[in-house]
Amino acid sequence: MTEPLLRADGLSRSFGGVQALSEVSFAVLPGQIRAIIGPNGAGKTTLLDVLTGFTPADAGQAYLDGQPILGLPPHRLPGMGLMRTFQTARLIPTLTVRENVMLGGHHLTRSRFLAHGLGLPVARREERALRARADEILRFLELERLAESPAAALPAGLQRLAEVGRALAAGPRLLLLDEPAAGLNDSETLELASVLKAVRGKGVTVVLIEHNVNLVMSVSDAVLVLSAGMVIADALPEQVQRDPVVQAAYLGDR
Amino acid sequence: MQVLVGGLTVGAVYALVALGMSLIFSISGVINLAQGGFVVLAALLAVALQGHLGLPLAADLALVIAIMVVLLAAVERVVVRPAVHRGNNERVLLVTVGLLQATGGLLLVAWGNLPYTMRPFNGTQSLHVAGASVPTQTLWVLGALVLAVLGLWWLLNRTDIGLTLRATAAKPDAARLMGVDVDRMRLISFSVSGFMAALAGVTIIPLTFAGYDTTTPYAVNGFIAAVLGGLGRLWGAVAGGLILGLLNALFGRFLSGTLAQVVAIGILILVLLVRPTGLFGASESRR
Repeated sequence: MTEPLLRADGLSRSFGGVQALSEVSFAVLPGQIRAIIGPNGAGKTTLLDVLTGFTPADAGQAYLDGQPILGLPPHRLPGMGLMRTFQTARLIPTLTVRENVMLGGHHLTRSRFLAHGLGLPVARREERALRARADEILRFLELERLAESPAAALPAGLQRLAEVGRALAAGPRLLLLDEPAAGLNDSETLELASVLKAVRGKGVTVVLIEHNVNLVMSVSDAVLVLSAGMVIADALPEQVQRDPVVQAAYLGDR
Repeated sequence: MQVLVGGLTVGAVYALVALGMSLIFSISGVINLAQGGFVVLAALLAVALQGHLGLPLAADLALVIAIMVVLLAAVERVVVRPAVHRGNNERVLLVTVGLLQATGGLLLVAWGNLPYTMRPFNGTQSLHVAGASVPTQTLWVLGALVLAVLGLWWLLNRTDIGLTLRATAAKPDAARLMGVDVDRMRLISFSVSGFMAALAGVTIIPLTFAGYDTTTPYAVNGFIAAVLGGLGRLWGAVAGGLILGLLNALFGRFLSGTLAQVVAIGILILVLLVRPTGLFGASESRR
């Protein structure tokens, strides 16, 4: 039995009277693509927010490789190998796409301010390596012709793809993606599916929040279903598809 | 022409003060009113180090730069950072006013109430350009501004740190997600502005007198210059400083020096009322 890379243990969070998450527990094995689905308002994004320290949990803890991660400042997470993207991409609008992707890899550079300020060779070497890595990722995502465009000039779907690229530049072990396919057309969604599989092929574990059922069924190794803040199913994709409880939750028949 | 020379010289110093303030503001949202005080501190340090240790000019300049860079990093770490974590930016503004007063007080204790000056770097001879006499020291001041501008441009656009600084300035929250330590970026911006204060202070001191009571004029004029150029806009700060210096010199020449200061404050109020984004801050998005 392999140890899970990410383990959530009894996560709860309420906003006013609304119980957004209610004792959510699950484990993600390394090398998996784990989808999280559920009707609107089921608590999917809240779950990512809690995992990445944006929203404090009322109760529970999450562990990355056995290390507790709730309560850490957000800027520490990339260093631990955890990156996320957002429903609405949070690229830096004034920087170019390439610069945004380079920024993702920034925390891997070791040379300090002084080395940069003095233009030492070690800093220049790292700068070049960072740029080369960004270009490689942009090629991988087929975004290289947009490398020089300001991020704000991209359509929303491509911004989200560029954000995936920025997250990849950080060399993550675990990638949390919040609806990466929203706003993509069918061929772009297919491309995203192959990107996700290639990412998994590189040994990166992926947690995917997604509405697009076809995408979820085609790429994921396991599916977690949330409804009204509770886990109502945690199984293989084809099992989830046949689960009457899941069908009822989606059709509102409860 | 003579007015132009004097105006540009003073303007270059205001520009350096404004550049430091704008840099810190764009990266952290903190308005550091103490920046003008640090210029005077750097100037008096240069005088003292030269006077007591008999350091040659280059060593004097290097040492003052090193002291100011480290000192402002310490100020950020010990004073500004706790204030930012505890309060909002308005409260931090009051903290920097306190810093300005504290700097003046420190100068009074350490240097007394006498004004100080220093020998010009290349002697007292002047160049004659188009009917105006240009002290060689003026060229040092303008050179310091050019050096600061080029250096800052290079740092921001050609280095990895610059990338993270620009990212922090544009969207601190998103930058934080990328593993950028925003506290560290603020510290770096203070250090860089310490470098600028050192350049300004050491190059201007041979042309003027500085003492504990000259901190406020530098702080006020630097602030006006920064607002004139659009707070947070680096190249606007440079233009704002030079314009303010020229206006100051013009009014000082044809009216009186005291009136020039009134006019400067008047410009500040006018800009804030009519064009709060500064003369050059029209089209781009607000911070």
